Amino acid sequence: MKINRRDFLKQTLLASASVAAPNLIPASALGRDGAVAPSERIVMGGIGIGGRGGYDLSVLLQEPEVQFVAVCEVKKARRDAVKQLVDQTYNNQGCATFRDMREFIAQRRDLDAMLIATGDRWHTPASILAMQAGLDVFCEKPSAMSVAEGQALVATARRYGRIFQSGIQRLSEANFVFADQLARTGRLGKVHTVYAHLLPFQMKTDWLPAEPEPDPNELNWNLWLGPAPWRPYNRGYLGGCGAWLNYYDFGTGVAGWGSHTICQCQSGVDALDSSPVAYEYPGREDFDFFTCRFANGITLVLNTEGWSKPGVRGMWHGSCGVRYEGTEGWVSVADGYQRPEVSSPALLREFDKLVRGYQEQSGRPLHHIRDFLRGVRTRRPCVANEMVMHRAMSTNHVTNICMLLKRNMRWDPAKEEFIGDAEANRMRTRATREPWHV
Amino acid sequence: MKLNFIIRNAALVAALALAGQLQAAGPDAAKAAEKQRELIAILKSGAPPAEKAIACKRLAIYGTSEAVSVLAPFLADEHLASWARIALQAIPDSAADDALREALGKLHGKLLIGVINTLGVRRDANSVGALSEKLKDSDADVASAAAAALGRIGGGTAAKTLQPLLVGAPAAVRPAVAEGCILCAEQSLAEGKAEAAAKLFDAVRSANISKQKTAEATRGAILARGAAGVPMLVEQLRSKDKDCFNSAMRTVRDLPGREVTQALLAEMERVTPERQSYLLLALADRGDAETLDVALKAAKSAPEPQQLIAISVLDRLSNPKSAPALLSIAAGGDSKVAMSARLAVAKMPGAEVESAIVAMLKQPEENARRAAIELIAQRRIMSAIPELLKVAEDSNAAVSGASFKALGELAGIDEVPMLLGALMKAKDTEPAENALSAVCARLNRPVSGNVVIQKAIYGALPEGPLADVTAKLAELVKASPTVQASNKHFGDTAGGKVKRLRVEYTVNGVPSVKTVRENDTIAFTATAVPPALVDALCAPMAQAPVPAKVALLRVLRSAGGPKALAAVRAAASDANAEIKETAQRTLCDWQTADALPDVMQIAKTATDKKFKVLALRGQLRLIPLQDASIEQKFASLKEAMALIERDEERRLGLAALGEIPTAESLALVTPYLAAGNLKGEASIAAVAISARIVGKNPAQVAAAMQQVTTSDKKLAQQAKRLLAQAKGAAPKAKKK
Repeated sequence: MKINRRDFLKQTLLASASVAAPNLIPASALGRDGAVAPSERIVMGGIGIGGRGGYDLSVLLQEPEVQFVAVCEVKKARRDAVKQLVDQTYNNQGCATFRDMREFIAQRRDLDAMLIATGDRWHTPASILAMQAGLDVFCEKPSAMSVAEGQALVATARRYGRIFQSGIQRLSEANFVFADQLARTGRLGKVHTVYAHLLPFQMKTDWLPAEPEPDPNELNWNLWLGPAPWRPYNRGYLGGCGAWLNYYDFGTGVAGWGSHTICQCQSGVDALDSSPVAYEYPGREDFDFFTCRFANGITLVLNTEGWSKPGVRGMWHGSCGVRYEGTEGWVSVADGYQRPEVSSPALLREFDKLVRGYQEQSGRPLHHIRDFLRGVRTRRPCVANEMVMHRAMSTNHVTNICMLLKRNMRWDPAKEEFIGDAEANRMRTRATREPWHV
Repeated sequence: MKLNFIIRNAALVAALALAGQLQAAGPDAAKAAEKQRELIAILKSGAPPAEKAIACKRLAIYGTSEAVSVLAPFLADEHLASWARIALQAIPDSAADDALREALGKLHGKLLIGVINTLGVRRDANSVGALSEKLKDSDADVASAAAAALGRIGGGTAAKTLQPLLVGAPAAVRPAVAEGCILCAEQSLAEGKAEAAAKLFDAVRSANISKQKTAEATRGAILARGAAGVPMLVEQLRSKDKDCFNSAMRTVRDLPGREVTQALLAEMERVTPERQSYLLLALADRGDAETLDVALKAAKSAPEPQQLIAISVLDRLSNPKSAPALLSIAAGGDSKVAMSARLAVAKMPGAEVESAIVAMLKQPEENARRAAIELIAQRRIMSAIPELLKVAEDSNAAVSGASFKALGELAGIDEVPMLLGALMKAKDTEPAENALSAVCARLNRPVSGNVVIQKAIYGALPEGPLADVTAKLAELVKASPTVQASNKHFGDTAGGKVKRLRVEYTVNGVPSVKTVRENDTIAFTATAVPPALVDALCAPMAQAPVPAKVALLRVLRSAGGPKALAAVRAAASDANAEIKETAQRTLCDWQTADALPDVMQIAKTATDKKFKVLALRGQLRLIPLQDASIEQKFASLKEAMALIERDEERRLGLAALGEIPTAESLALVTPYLAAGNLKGEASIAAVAISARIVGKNPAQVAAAMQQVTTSDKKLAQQAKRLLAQAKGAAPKAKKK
């Protein structure tokens, strides 16, 4: 039977429910039927709820401890669709709508947390605005446009004591957790090479021809651009699957999937608090087999041709794959796998033990959004907290800069600067359009 | 605020050493100057805004003081100002600061705010005076931007300017003034001026601007005071206000020191069970040794949620003193708490911990013994193997089974005779059989095998130029199973580009595909268990009682290799029906193609339909693995297909044919494209074959692809593409 990733995730979540970490909703908050009393619910709003955000929202709406009350979106059609979904779910007309996030955050003082699923350019500024207002944040990836933005986000989360979770959800999925645990517990021997799957992408800088701006009530182009440098409106940026992603002023290049897979690899080699130190320019435009090395000598290889196609066996037969190779064995996993592929069936026999062990030891559920909700209640930093996100994104940014400047790079993760490359160091920051700042 | 990132010193030294090995070219000053000239020329020209925007962006990398004067006028350009600031924010020369300061006096509204923001990011101390003036601007957004920028710049002057405005500024500007003060205070703290920082934080607290600003300043005030800030922290922890408590829970993770830990431990006694959970989690994140006693107490007697958290604290502390308590909890069967305790002990260092675990084997309770066995396996306590062998004879089946499982995970060749002895004596042979099979699987090691290179491409994959190096690689692997992907072997097939080698090959019939970069190596190896292990397994075959012999036959399948196959082959004609049947089943399930003749013989001669089916399945699985030409494999598959009576096996046959890229194979598959039950598998096979032969057999591929009907969209698309490709490749009739 074929099984898609979402079905598999549902099954995994159900299977893991019995061994999930203890419920930390206070007993006093639960009614007779087990429902969470309104006064104890986590009140949430959302900014920029489109495709990916819609999935996040659908998960949040199933959580009894969450009350979703308002949405902010620059596109009217989406704004209305979210309101309709939320109101239908709660059987009321309570979901408020906003177009400008500044008004939203200023007016809704009842919120505890915010879901942010805008385009990349908005992730850090919106997260910072929300955290400054005392909200915890679940923000989709990639979470920062530059190294400096990542630093600002980390500093803000600490300064305001906020909980931040980046949408790097594979850190909370059983198959990927198992792969990490195999590598971290030495079952693969000494890990020497890790592979991260990338979605082919572009980093275009050209402007599309100007078109008349739409009615700002339908789509506010100024707010859509937000902190990105100005350019005239063209519907081509808004096309399906995030056409804007391929424009460097709106996107983050390699981080489309690299924010997931590079983070996953950093988790597998226990380097969530660091980044590779040496990056090798491959001498051509594509990122396939781009190589960098961690301080301990482990090699990280990026792979854009991972997909298996009919007649061509690739490294993975699903999206967002990672592969860890050690002296004693290997593991490879991507979305849609029923179980990871391993060098020896004996490794797979430990699946339940290792995954359960991770849950027990970390106290984290195999459910990325529930890990966030637990963080909101307990104040314990989430699995993809601001620092984890920042370090993974730093690796992505350094890789982008290496490819843009077309030369090898050395990176000092402690000082967060390039070694011996002043030009690259200038690219650690990207100025934001007025009046926005981070 | 400068962030303090944690990095291990040793790792940093290694990082820098490693980074030093990489040949990093660094910037080329001459090229940069040339680029700057070109970019300035664009900005001075009548080029369209899009080109000027990109020129600004590139000047962020290559610009110097020369570019600043050209960029500065764009600060007043509504559309290009943000692009100009990308460059001016990044150019390190002080000329950029001068230009930005000059613009302060000329701009208004958002454009002015942009310049103020950039001066803040650049931390231009010379602009403090001008920015202080902007604090009085009638536009509250401008004044707020100036306050935040002054905070980023920091220093005594900025702080002295901002502090009085905490009270004196208009209400709309006061939050930004507070932000500026907090940034100044953080900078003072980072510079070691804790007292000054604390005063500034206190000023923000007492200004009572907003709940968030007060919480933010309180956190800073606590961190600035260090140990002396603990009473303030405790006050927050006791607050009934959720936001205060939440803020404190983050601060306790950031503030080091024993005093903090002591305060948290004291609070544990006072707070509600829910808050106890949160405090325990915070203690776990701090990992202080003083937490041991309170965690032990909670692990033993608290309600389950707190118990689990307490165990996670003990896990992090990893103190052998907690081993007895954790082992006692670990013996609690399959409860969540017991499992957590076992996981904690499994990682705990110390010889005394290992001794305590082995001693647990002698405890009368089943759960205690099972917990000990699991921990021995997890910790790989090899010295406990003799004890495990004794426990394997335990009358309790669950304990005995667990012990055999552990032996399977630990035993080496030296222990195999003892495991065989246990197998011979056992009434229930399954646990010992599984242990021996596990040993075989674990001791598999890379060995050289029969390598067949099916296709090898070397070049700038995927777009090219590429060269087919199949013959050359086949020649090289005859000399060595390890081959380097380099020009010295395959020539420089794509001059100036980084090349890769992609190889499709089989080792002992097992297919693989690998791609490596230029100068990396590929090892073409198979795996096998050590001969001594096979010898040990074969030795007792003659004398073994029937149940043990039957079990050994299955173990030999796990071991594999010629000697094991010979032993199974001999047993396939044993007089004992049970042994014979097991041996035949084992042959049908053999993993390598050397069993193919035996399997074909069973398929032809078996009278029992069940064995006929098993043998046919084995045949279909092994034919593609054999070291034979494509034509020979096809002939064998065709022969096997003729013997098939059921659709289940036909599906397997079609899948195997999909691996044979010949016109004959496609011809054999094509009739099944119209077969209701089989058209799915037939379509997959036909597409796979066609993709590889479309160049040489376009007409046949076109005919087959026209018949593909599938609900799989991707497959249908590929069939459509192949059809188009086949039609394009087919010779067209000449026009008359």
